[in-house]
Amino acid sequence: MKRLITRYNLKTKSLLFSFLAICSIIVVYSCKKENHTNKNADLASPVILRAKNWYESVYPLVSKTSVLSTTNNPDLSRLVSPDWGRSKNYTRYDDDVIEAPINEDAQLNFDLSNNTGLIYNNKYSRSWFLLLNKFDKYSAYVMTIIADSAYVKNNPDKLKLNSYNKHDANFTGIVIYSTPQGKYVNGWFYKNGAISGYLPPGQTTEAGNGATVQNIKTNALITVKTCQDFIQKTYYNGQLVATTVLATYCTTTTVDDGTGNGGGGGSIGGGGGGSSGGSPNTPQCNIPYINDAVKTVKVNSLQTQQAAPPDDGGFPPPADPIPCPPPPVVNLPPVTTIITNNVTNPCLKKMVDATIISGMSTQINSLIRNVFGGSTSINLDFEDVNTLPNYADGKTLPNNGVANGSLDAHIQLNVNLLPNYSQEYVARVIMHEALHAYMDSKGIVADEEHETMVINYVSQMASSLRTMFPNLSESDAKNLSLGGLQLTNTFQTKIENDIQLSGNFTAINLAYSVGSLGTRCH
Amino acid sequence: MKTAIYNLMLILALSLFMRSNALAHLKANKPNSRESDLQSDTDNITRKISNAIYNTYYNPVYWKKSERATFTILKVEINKIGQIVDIRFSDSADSVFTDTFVKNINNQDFKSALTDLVKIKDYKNIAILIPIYYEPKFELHPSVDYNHIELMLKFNKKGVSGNTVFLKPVTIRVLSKGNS
Repeated sequence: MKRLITRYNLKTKSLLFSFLAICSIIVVYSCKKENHTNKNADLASPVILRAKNWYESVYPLVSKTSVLSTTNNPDLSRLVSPDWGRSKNYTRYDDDVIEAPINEDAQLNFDLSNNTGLIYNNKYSRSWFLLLNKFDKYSAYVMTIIADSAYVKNNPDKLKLNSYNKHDANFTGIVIYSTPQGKYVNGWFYKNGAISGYLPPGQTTEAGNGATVQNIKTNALITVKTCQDFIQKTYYNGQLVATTVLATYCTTTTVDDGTGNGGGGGSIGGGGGGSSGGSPNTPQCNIPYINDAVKTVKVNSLQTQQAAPPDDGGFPPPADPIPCPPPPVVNLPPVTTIITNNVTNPCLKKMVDATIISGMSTQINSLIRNVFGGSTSINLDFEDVNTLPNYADGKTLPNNGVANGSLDAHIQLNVNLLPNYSQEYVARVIMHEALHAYMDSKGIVADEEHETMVINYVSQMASSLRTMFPNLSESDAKNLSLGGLQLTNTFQTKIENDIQLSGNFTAINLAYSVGSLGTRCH
Repeated sequence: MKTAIYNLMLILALSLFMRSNALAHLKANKPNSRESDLQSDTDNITRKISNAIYNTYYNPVYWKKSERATFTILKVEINKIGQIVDIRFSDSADSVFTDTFVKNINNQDFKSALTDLVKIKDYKNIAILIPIYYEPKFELHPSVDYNHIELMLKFNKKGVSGNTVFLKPVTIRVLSKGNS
């Protein structure tokens, strides 16, 4: 009996113990839940509630669409939403600001590159929603910072030291503003905590003296417009969803090589020459650029707006008042391009020179030159050879990309064939080979280069051809530009079926090569 | 008392399990930077391997030697301790195809890229298979003998056994006219 009672007591004790344990876990979990609720307590703030209601009425919550890669603006409002529970509320530049991180269950990253390559890595990006209320009128933006790896120093937590109203004292990178629908508004480059450049949307043209441009011996003044795109890639939960050109920055420079003996290779920049071209696309700024010289200048702001303090430690606002940019907008990397025209056949030699010079004003040449601009030198070496089989017009010898700041691309042209072909055809071959060199340096897998070319560059090649040969029809230019790309899947599956574009592909390419169409050397 | 301790342990284990599951879920949804770096390294290495193969055969020097369409598999055998012990084409590759590769890869970083891949992926006791399609006169759609396809899967007249991993196929297409 005693044993039974003991066992009964034991059972009761164990049940009691379990009950207490369960209770303690419930208490712990409810505390956690309470914490979480407390975190969202700010939602009760009428300021945030009003902002939330406004935002959700303008950008209604929709079921997330399947994420597809796009070259248009990525509609960020369909991917992420403000985390109102973790938002901050303060006043800046007469705006009631609500700064909300993006919802925790999503990861949104951006990187920035130009034609030279990656500038800032998406690993070091961070985004917030900004809701600005001025005179009872809301506007919403997505603010993104992408930090330079040298600033981050393998410590991504440094990104947390930055927000709209306070950036880290030595922040280096870019702050980008876009609308929630992904439309680029503007961006500011920072170096060691100070603005170093402004990136307005659209195209900016500067008269550039800094960049050294390639110099072909032609005994002529050449006005060169060099453009580089600033490209943003958007990653949602690690997946690339959009590639967008935010802005294009161009410089125009006039080159005079001064030697003018008309042949025998090129030389490094030299000559220099004057500069010409458009005026800078200065933003409608109303706060002078802050530097030591103007810090004491009193700013007369618009009637009811208070002037921005000389430096309140935060990032520039996405809209008025916009601080004026510093004098240099964006520095293009120095370009040193050596194009050596070792072609001996007079006709081909002329075509190499003509293609490069004429192509200078086009995106193709800009692309080629800008990618090489990141290196200290690029040696683009053309030669004519008689060793290629009769089914090869040209060949770019593979290289390992940019090594030690220098890239050597060796382009062979078939001297047995090309001098008898039209100049239009030969120009296309030269562009095609130069693009191979470009893609080699970009690290594109060799067996994907033709596919990349047919998808991304045919239109630009056709446009360049028409610049060089104004009488060339658009259809002929496109068909010529497709030459050598018949082996691609895109050509096989899409273009070949498009009668309008390529119905005469074979006939046109024959006519401009072994036929009689086009401009001939002889 | 034992039952109580058992119950308590059970409850604690359950809550730990729930917590670790939640953490694992979080980790699974947020790719960490080390993983993406590793992926980037792997992409770079496989690009080198693919380029070495492509540039060997998308090459007028080789075109002059052979106009034979070749569908083959390059097999790289790795032993139990992660060493590359054999690199070999399947039986569908003729001696011209094989010799060109052997001669060419000495000048490339093909082998070091393979070694890096094995190291980074920690491959052991496995065969890496890389399908290679060399298609001359591509636009003329030349036919290929079925025996050739059968030989594609044989190495020294034997099939492949054991664990294998496929890399992305390398396709080399050559036109009958106008290559550039």
